[in-house]
Amino acid sequence: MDTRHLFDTLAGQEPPLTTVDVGRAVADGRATRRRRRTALTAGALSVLLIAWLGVAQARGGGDVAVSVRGDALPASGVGPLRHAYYDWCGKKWTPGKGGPFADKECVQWRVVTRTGQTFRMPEALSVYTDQTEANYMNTAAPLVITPDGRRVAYYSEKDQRFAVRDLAGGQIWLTPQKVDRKTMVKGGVMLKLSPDGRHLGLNGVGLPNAVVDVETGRVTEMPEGWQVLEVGDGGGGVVVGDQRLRLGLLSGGEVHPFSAVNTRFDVGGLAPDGRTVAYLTGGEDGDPGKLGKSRPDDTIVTIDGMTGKIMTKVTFRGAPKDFRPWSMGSWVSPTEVAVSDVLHDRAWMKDRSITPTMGEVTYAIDVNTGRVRKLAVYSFRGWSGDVVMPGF
Amino acid sequence: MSLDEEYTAYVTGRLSWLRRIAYLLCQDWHRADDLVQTAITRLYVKWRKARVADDLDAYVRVVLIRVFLAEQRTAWFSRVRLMSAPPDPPPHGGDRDTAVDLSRALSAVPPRQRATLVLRFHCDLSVEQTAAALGCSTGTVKSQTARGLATLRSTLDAPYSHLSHTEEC
Repeated sequence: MDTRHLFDTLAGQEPPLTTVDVGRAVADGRATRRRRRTALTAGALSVLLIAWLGVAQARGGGDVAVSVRGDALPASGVGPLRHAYYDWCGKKWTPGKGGPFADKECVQWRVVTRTGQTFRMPEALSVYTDQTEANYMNTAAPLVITPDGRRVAYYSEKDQRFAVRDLAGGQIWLTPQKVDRKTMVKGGVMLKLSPDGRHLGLNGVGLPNAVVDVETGRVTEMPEGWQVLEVGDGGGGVVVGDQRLRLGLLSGGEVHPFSAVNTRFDVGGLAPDGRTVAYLTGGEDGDPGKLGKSRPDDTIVTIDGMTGKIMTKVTFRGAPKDFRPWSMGSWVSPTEVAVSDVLHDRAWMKDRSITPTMGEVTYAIDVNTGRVRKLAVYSFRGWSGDVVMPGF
Repeated sequence: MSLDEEYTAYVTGRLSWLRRIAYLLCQDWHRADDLVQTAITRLYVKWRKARVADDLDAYVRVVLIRVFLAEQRTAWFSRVRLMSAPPDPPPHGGDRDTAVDLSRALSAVPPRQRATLVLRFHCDLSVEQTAAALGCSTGTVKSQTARGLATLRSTLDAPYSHLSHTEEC
C-alpha cells in the first residue's frame, strides 16, 4: 500500500454531519469587513461614518440574517437526543436586555438527535426575554434530557406547567401543579428527571418542592427544609439538600443526612442501586466573588446515602492537564459517573473576529480506579447561550 | 447572481472537499469543522479577490492550510481542548483498522510536515505547487516530505513500513 492509497483510505471514511455553517461565515465575514472599513475610515471620515451607520441601521443593513437551523419538533417518531441548546440567535446579547429577541424563533430551545437532526422546541419556554437587569443571571427556563436521550422535561408556557415528553411515542405528561411565567422569571428553577424519565423533581423559588410521578400524577412533597437535588429510577431514592448545606437521601419517606453541616459537595445522579451517591472533592474554594474553585476537585468519592459510609475514594488518573470539573451527571456504567468541563475556545481568544464556540466536554470517571476518559464534546457557535447534555 | 450567492454556491459545493483536507490535517472531524469554518469566513472577506483567482480551489486550499498552521502556533494546552474531540463514530465502510492506524500515525507527524504530506499525497500537488502553497522553497518541501514519511514509517506497523522512499522527492 503506497502513501497515496493510505491517504485515500483515511479521506474516504464517511464523515459525521458537519457543524460548518455557511450562513454564519457570511455573517462573520460581513462583520469583519465592517470592522476593517470602520478602522480605515475612523479618523478622517468619522462624521460621515456616523451618518452612514445611521442610514444602514435604519434600513436594517447592519442586521445579520441568521438562519434558524431545524424545523419544529415533530409530534412523534423522534430518535434519542444527543443534546439541546439555545444560542440567542447566534447574536450578541446584553444580560438583562432580551427585549429585541422577544417572539423570535431562533431563541427557542433546539434539540439535536444522535443522527444529527436539529429541531426547534416551540412548546418549551427558553430564554426570558422579559428578564430584568437586576435578575439577569436567571436567564432561561430549564430543559433536561434523560441519560438515554428518549425523554425531555421542560416548562410549557401554554399549559403553565412542567412537561415530560416521550420523543418516540410523542406522549406528553404535565405536572399537576401550575406555575406561571412570572414565577419562572422571578426565581431560578432546577428540574431533575429520573433516569427512566418518569419522575420529575422540582426545585425553585415559588415552586412546589416535590417529586412528581408524571405518568400517574402522584406527587411526593419533600420534607420541610429539604430540596430535591437528584432523583433515582422509580423515584425510590431522592438526594436532597438543606439550607445548612447538608446532603441527605430521602428513602421510605425519611431523610437520611449523609454529610455534615456546611460540607455540601457537587453530587452526581444516584447509582442504579438507589442509595449510592458519587461526589467530587479535593478542591479548594476560591474567592467567593468569582466563579468556580481556586483549585479544582481531584478526587471522586462514593458514599452509601443510607448509612453515610464512604465506599470508595480515589484521585483522578489520566485527566487532562487543565481538567476542571464543572458539573456532575449520571452513571454511564456500573463503575463510572459522567462529569463535564467547560469548553474554552482559545482560538477565539486569539482572533475575536470569529464567532466563538461554546459548550461543554463530558468525561467518565471510574469510582474504583479514578481513571478519567473523555466521552464527548457538545458545542455550538454563539456569543452566549447554554447546552444541555443527557443525564446532566 | 450576487457575490454572496456566488460565494455560497461555491462554498456549499466544496464543503465536503474542504472538510476532508481539514480532517487529514488534524484527524478530528469537530476540529476540522472549526478549521473550515474559519477558512471560509476568511474566504468571504477576500471573496472579491478570490473569485477571480486563476485557481480558486488552490486559493481556498492555501487559506485552509494557513488557518491550520496558524492555529498550531497557539499554546499547546489551548489546542488540546478543542482537538481532543468526542470519539468519532466508527467509519462506515472502508478499512477501519487502516484508517485508525493512519490517523494515529499522522497525528504523530509535526504539523508543517503533515501539511506537506497532505498536499503532496492527498491533493496530488507537485513539489513546486506544494512549495507555492506553503510559501517555502522546493528544497524545504522535499526535506519536510522525507521527514514526515519517516515519522509515518516509524509509527505505522510493519505492513506499512515499506512506504516508498521514491515518494520522498
